[in-house]
Amino acid sequence: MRSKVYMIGMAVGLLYVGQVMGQEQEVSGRVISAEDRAPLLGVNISIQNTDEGAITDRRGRYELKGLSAQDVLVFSFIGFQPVEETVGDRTVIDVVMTPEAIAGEELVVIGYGTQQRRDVTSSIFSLKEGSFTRGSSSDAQALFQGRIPGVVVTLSNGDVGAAPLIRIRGGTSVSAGNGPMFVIDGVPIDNSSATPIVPSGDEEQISDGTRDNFLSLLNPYDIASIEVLKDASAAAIYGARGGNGVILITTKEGRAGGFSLTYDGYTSASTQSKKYDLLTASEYKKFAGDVGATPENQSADTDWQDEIVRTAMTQSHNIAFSSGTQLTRYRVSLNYLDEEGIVLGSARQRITARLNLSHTALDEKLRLAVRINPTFIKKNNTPYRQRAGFLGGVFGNVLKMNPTVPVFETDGETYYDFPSLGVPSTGIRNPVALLKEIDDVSESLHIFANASAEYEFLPGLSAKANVGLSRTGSSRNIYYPTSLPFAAAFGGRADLINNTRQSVLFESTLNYRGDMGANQLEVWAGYTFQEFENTEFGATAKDFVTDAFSFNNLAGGADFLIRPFSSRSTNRLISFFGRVNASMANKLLLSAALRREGSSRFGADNKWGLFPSGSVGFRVTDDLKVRASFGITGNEDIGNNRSLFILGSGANAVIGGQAVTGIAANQLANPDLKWEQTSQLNLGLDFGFAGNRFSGSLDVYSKTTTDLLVEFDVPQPAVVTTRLDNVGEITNTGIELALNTVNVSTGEFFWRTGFNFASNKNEVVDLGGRDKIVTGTVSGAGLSGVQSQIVLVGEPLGTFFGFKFEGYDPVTGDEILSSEGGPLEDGRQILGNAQPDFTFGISNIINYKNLDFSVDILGVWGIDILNNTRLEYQRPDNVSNGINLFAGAVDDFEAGLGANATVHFTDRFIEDGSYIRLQNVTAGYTLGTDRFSNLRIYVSADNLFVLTDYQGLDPEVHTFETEVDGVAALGIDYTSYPRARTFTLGLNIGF
Amino acid sequence: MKSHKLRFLVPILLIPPLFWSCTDLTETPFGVVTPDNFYETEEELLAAVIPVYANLVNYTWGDFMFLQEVSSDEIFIPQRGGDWGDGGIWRNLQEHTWEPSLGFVNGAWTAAFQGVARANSTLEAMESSPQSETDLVATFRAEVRFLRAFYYWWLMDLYGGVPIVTAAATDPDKPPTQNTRTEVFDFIVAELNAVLPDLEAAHVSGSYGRATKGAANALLTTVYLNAEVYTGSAMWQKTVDASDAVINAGLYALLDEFIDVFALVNENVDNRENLFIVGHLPVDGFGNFRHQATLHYNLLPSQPWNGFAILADFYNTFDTEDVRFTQLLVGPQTVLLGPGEGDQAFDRNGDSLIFTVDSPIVGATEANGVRILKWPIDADKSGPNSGNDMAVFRYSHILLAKAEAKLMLGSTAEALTLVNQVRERAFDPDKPLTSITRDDILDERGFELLWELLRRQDLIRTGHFLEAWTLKAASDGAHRTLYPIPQSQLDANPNLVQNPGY
Repeated sequence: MRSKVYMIGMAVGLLYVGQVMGQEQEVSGRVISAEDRAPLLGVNISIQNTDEGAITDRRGRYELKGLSAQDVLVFSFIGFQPVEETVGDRTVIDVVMTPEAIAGEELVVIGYGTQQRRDVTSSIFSLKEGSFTRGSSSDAQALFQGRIPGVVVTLSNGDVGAAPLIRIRGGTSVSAGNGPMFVIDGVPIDNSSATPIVPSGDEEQISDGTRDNFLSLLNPYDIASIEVLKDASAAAIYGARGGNGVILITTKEGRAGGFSLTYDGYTSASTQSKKYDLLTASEYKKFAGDVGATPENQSADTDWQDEIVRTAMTQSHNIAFSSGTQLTRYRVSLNYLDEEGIVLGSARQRITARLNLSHTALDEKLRLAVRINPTFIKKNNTPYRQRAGFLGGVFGNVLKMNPTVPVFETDGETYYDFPSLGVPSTGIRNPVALLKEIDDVSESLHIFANASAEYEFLPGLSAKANVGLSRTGSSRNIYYPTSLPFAAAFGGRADLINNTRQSVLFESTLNYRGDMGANQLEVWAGYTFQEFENTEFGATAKDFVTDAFSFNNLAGGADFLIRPFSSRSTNRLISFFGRVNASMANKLLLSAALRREGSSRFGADNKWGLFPSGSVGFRVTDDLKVRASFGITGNEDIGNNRSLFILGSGANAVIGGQAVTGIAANQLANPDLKWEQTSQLNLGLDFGFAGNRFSGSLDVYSKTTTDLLVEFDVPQPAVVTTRLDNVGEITNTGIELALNTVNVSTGEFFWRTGFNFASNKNEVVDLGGRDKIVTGTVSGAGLSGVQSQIVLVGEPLGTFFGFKFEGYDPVTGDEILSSEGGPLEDGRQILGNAQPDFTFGISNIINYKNLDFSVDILGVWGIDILNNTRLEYQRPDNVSNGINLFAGAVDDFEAGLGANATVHFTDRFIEDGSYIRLQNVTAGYTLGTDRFSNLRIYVSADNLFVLTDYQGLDPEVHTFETEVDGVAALGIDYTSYPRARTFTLGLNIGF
Repeated sequence: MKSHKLRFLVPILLIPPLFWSCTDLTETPFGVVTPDNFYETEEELLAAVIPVYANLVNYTWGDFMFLQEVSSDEIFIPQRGGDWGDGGIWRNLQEHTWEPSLGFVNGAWTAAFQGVARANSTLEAMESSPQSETDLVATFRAEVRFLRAFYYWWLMDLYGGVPIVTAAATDPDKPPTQNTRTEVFDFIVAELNAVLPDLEAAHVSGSYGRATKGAANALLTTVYLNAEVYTGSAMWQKTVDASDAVINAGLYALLDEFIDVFALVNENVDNRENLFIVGHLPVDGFGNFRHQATLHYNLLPSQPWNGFAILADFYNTFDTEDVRFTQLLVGPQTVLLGPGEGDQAFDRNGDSLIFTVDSPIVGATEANGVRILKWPIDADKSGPNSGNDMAVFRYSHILLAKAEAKLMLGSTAEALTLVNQVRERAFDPDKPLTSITRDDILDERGFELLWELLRRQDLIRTGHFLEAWTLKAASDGAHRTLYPIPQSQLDANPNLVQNPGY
């Protein structure tokens, strides 16, 4: 294991082994990667059969003196195939190194430590810098979306900083969280949306759509690697939070060996990728005539979809400086992102800084590290809704707007607002006015800091303490001015909401690493404590004398629309854990871990849980490893105080003409409440042939989640109708394949391909005696109380159910619906499922000389989507109600649907959401120059095309707030923020 | 190197839980209270009584109101385009085709039983309160027991026999057993008689909205009036006696003008016609949504929902000279509030808004259907919230109940006098009836008590509920006079037996 020796050499910080004296020949040269022709820093060059050698600098340069012609130079670097060169009579030896598809010696981050890839016995996928998806990546999920088998990332819509829905190996829970745990540099973080959401409930509130991406707090250029712990053996070390998998993000550290300064910048332009097929003014008028309707006709021809979008410009600048000596290393980065959304006014600005610093003292036995990461984000939100009430937000109104009316009155500045209707507000609102007049600004400041100290008492035995602090303060300010006719009715409205989230982590670990030749042993033991605290405060005022106050003077409003409210809650997790990794005779690999974890969220009688796991691996040959693992993890993502009997305010009455606050039970106690428990068996195969030029892994797994947290009806009379209980069972079984090949690698031509495939089968096995739970709220006029999904024993989560469309009644023109059978015996049938049959991704990197080229394609297959937007707007009778409709409604009318017939939620609106997306194409050119270590320009296109039959804007979509009583729904698309296609021009400079 | 002195400190700092050995996982809720720190003071007791009152909002707006009104021949909700289609739930109510899984059926059940449960836990808390012996607590206790009886009346009326539970603590593993409808009836009567002495005789200004002797006697009158439906035996004399307890109290009278009964300025103790009300304010959480529910989108700045309408048959029973006819909106409309108040109103296509008498139940236009403007528009209306109080029991209901009981007892002349007492203020000049039948009283109750949630009972009591009317075929069986036990309640409590026919 030649290169391993050098790796250890590097690890202790040996940088310049020095020059060797006494012989004749001098050799210098430059080492670059075949992959991107970038110089490689820290390549070991050893002179065979001696202890001597050198290491390349940041420009990939090295120098060796005192060589003889017979000497053989061995170039080795982690992740690359070694190169041997005989000196001969040369004085300059430049080397192009070929990367291994997967490097066995590469360090993989596991929970509370690292491990060489070749020793890993559980299902961990690792994606390193350099393998990330290229293109304009303003948020971190873009780096790995579609690249990791079994990890499905669904961006909820096209909004700037839209929240991704991330699922690892399917969903495990009916009503608790299904998202993975995120750990950044060893510190678990709160992964919910930071931007406060305005309490909904009143009709005028139209800004509840926006959801933050918590990953936007990270600068993607700071990320060194992303590891996904998929099986229980890997995730069990995170105990009660590991049940949905764990994503570990590691940020870049400074490197020893002189300074390095890099600049990465890009500017991009985005346009709407697809529009709805709405009727144009002339089509609208014609259809109105056909059905005898008399909607308003102002003789304009307005494409309202075009009126609200623009070409959005984005710029990003990133500067990173790193340097280090043997003892002290640091990296500092600063990132500025100024991003526009394609919808008018929507924008985001972000400033991120990071300092990662480490220092070694006390004879290199004490290692201190500090990481500080402040992020400031300011966002101009688009006022749109997830669940339309009657009036809807911007996107609902875009679809409603009569195409014959103009944006402005004839004066060119007063927004057209249907003056003929007599009242200065109608069921329709001019969406351009909403966008231009409503100020909806959110700001958040996030501080993430951690410090650690590690001390090696005895050779191999070290202790580490780690303290982490994360705090986010966010505000959301919204003002609806009286210039909007509907807002004039209540004298303007200002919403203010502030929240803070804070977490404090303390953990200490003991680590022993014993190396007994072919046998190795590593042991961890640890304690961790983490406390989260959330607070919120807000109020909504109305009746402002002047719009000049905007949202800056709440007292300027004569009255509260929502009275001031506030809340505070905390939760705490405490754990003790241990793990043993052993390697015997370089063949047999064993790992066992145990975590005892307690959470304040659980009932008094069930505070502590035990989460064991074990795995075994066997290296059949150097090229092939088989492994098996089993373990138990938990899910505690249920919110705080759920096990307690709680009295709260809210049950009020009017007595004597005054509002009187009552205090009543809000929640029933459940002292037995505990985590959802997932046990998972994983069998895997890792292979790497032809010098690791062809490598990959294959995993099959079976996950069983029991003790599902479900709200249960309690027998009446009861002060509260339901109680949270642990019942039920869900299984996920699946297969995952990852392949990496280096197809071609010559000095000038390099081609690498990555392929991944995953298929997961989800099934609800038991619901604690119940056989079904109905969820999936359908939105839109006339659809109150209509639900679209059913959690049914024997079916997967996300199962759509509803009436089947059986034709049109030739007499009345009404829809004929299925009337018998189905799970509720009322004619509603199973209509589809919102979980994909399989997902795949293909990425290619091709370099020729100074040109580089990459293509990333991802696919999702066998998934159904409820096109709720089409359900509301593909209705012939919209024209009679003075609102616009999809062209499809005209087809339906011609096919026999009555002009005033009711359009029901049926299988007509469940669509195949399978798609293949050309996620990114990038082409770059590296300028060969000596002044820079790297100088590259590139052009890139994101979302160039999507192959799909889906009729909505984009099949990758998720509408929030479709759950019913906390039971999550999937795959519903309702008036989503449109998706963009983005072209980018970028520059990378390394000084 | 000086730092070597630190060498001895470092291991100590790193040894695991030595300096941070916290293993405390007790959950501390903030901004909420637990029973251990509550029910100590008078204010806290009041705060514990208020939630029992809070469930009364279902009278104004909620599943209880929908079940009582939309299933009657009085109110329906036409489907206008897609609006109010809502998966056919409103149509199920009007056409008597509901199933045990209908959400409204479960919602009304849980709303009423939550009131019962809150009453039980408040009563228990009062027992252990240091204030438990004071007169104040005696009055509160009587009010809470009245409210519990009131919620049981809802349950008995809608579902028949339900479990009678008076204990605060219920064990989910030992669900209560079902009582018969007669047992529930007897429980209500016994409770009301027991608490009557402790209830206040009349409201004082700060307590308008709380239950009085008048409210309890009004409820007694109402349950006796329907006793034949509830128990199988009519109790007409008891109806007369209970109504006389109201009439002879000397506190109540008909106001001179019908519209004054509902005037916002009369929402106080001086309104002698109101026996029991649900108070509202034009504020989120306290508002009355009924204007929002019935009026057209463009009639108010708050953009009402254009739903609830009056059936044409019912509209046609009105005498056009009746002052109560003016509460029905038909024909061209004007804007009722806001900048354009009094101006002509338009529909969403810009055409004049003209309400029609006839309306289909599905495929209605925006303008189809008669609307209700019984309560005056609240100028302070905020969003959907109006401040109009809702009377649960009015004096005119007591007079008409007595009239019906008298008629059934054979005292036709007395019945005629009582009905004409109610009619007197409705006509100028007077238009008294000269003869009287039970159906005449039913009609009179319709004119007088529109949307006051008594219509379904009146129809069942007089045998008309199952009949066909314009928008409804004859009901598919007598079982429709009761709602089914909600499916989710059957699932939660295996002791419950479904009502016959479902």
